[in-house]
Amino acid sequence: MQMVSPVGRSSKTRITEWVQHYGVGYAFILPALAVYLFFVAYPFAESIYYSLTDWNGAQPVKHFVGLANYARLLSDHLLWQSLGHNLVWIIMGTISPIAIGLFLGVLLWSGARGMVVFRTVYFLPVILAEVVVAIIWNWIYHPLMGALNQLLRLIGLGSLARGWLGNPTTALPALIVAAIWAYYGFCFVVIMAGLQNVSLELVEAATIDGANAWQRFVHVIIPELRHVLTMITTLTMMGGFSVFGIVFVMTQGGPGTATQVIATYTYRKAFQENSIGYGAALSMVMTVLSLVSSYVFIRLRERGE
Amino acid sequence: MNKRLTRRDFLLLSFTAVVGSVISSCAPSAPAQPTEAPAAATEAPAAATEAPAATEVPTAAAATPAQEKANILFWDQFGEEATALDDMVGVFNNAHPNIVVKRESQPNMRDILKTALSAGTGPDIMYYDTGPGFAGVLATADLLLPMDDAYAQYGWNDRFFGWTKSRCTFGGKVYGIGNELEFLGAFYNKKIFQDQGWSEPTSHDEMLALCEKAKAAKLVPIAFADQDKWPAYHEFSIFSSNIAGRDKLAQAISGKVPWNDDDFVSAIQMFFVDMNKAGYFIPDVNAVTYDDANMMFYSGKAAMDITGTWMVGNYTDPNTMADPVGFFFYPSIGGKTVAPPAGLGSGYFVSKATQHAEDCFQFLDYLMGKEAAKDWLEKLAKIPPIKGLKSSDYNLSDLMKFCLDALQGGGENMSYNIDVLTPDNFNTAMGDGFQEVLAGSKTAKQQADDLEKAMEEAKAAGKVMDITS
Repeated sequence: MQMVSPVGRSSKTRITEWVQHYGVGYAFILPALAVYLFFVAYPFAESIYYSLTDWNGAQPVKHFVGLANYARLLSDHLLWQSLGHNLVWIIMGTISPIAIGLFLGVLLWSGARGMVVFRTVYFLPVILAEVVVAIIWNWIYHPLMGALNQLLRLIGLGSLARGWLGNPTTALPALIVAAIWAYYGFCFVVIMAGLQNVSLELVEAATIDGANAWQRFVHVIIPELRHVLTMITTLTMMGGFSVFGIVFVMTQGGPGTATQVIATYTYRKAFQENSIGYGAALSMVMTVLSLVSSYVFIRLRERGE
Repeated sequence: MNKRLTRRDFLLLSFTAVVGSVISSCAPSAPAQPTEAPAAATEAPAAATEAPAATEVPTAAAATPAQEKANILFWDQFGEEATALDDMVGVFNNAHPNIVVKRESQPNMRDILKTALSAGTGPDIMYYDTGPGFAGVLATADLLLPMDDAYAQYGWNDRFFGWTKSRCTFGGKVYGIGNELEFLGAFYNKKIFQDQGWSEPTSHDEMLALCEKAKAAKLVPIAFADQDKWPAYHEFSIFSSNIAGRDKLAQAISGKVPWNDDDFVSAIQMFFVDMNKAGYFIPDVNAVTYDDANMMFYSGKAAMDITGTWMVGNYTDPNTMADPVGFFFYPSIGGKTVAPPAGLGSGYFVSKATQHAEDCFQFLDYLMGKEAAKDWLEKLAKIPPIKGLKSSDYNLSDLMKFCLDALQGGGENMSYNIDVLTPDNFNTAMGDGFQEVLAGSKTAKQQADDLEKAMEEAKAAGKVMDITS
């Protein structure tokens, strides 16, 4: 009979115990981790590397330029203009869909009939691809045959009819309205789910204590929804930094640069002007801003609890 | 015997599948084209390398005696609907049993080609923009095969116009065959002109008067719209050519004359400010696409359309446009010489990574040969770069005959379509800036200054093409 040393047996036992305790858990996260490392972490690391080079996307050699691309960012007025547009997008595009979703959610939660129908109708734009949304709204805004201008003319407000996407002052708000339409359904559904967990006893108690509808909304329902609101605000803010498709399809950042956001500007630099290195630096800025703002928001929200 | 799948079995299987997938995805990708053809096959024998007659489709036996087939992937931008090209490829494939050309139309070529080639994959032959910001970038990165020897070998130096060759030359080497010769000018609805008793203008002042008449007739004078940004490039090319002249424009494109020169400021002012303010374009010009603008011309709501001859196929198709279409070169401005801009649609290039260089050249020799020219002209309404094509030899519309004769007679003396010769950053400065000028948020002088700034940046980066030498 073959002898097994006590040390070996003990080590083997420990491994067996570890596998029994943690093996299943690690096995479950392994696929996701592998996908994450391959499709997120590795490209992210590559992007950091590219941002330190002057690569044009075609040359076999990538010259290391240190932080030159980042230094160039500081004096790039188009970057700052694009960031300004992102900021407007984040403010308008975060507040509006959440407010609309919250309003509709509470309205239906209060006992309106036909909840399934409303929920379906409100959620419908969310399932549309961004490109489809852009095409729909391109037609709505079309200066010659668009529904919006025709409606304005029909109700006697023809003087307001214009090329919404061709005017530097209306183009960005017009895009944001399209984005809000595409997104408020998501906020609505998540808020509806959150409302199912709101304690009815608390609401009834507030009613008995004499709180009116507004007071119940502000002091009972909103606090009960805080986690849901934090989550969708964070997601919407991050989306506001990375918005691309709707702008690219509808205006390509125009007229001029009136709707240029950082993602479309990054695309332009990286792929249209063959500056992958500088484009990668721009994408790093976008990533850092998105991460930092989300982190700060969540921390502030947690501190307020 | 039935054996239940235990949780352990399930996990083991899942783990194996995931690891297997990851390993396989990490493995080096297979080359884009089968590489089974031995070197002997890829380097065509003497029989194949001796230039065949330009008008003949070389026979299979003469072309590639090797046993294995050479698979050639061919990307272009003509769309799936260009079935005439599929037919042309079919004819070549049938005549060459040892070569299989597979055509794929790539509408987003600009987005994918650079990445594909630099990754060592992509097509063997591509139809791509010829400018320094496009094919020039690929040539500089050593991703394209020089064609100087092929030009000599197949007699292309004699067959093709010299100016088309120079537009595909980078760093002293020729990398492509320019195709789709085209020029810019004013198309007009003949029926409207006839009904209204109008005639083709012979000066810019007459053109302005004509626009006023069109406005009075409740028509859009010029179907110009610029949501896509690039249509402005063409209008700028026309006005710059007619004001600054061909030679000065060439110097500006080459970075030898500043873009904020008075002539270019005038060109911007005249078209993008004065004519826009006068209401000669589609209202809300920045919010309407090029296609929608063309629709207005097709439907008779616009009297004229200032664009390029690539539209001739649509204008002469009764399913697209019912009314007959006429053409005139944009007339003289201030008594100066009319210098219509001309250029290439794109060009054919061969990947340096191809395993079948000689087979690619054989295919291009056929595709750009006189026999195929008939299909190019009659079926595709595109003008190939071949010298000596006579419009009387083909079944063409009057408009197409005019275009062919104009290019055959004086294509090389025409002026320049700016954007196909200028660097990428200059083009984005044009696209953004002209929209701003049209929107009234930038003056002509500011735009000219911005163009000059973009050109200086491009010069510093070594991206400017000298077309004066």
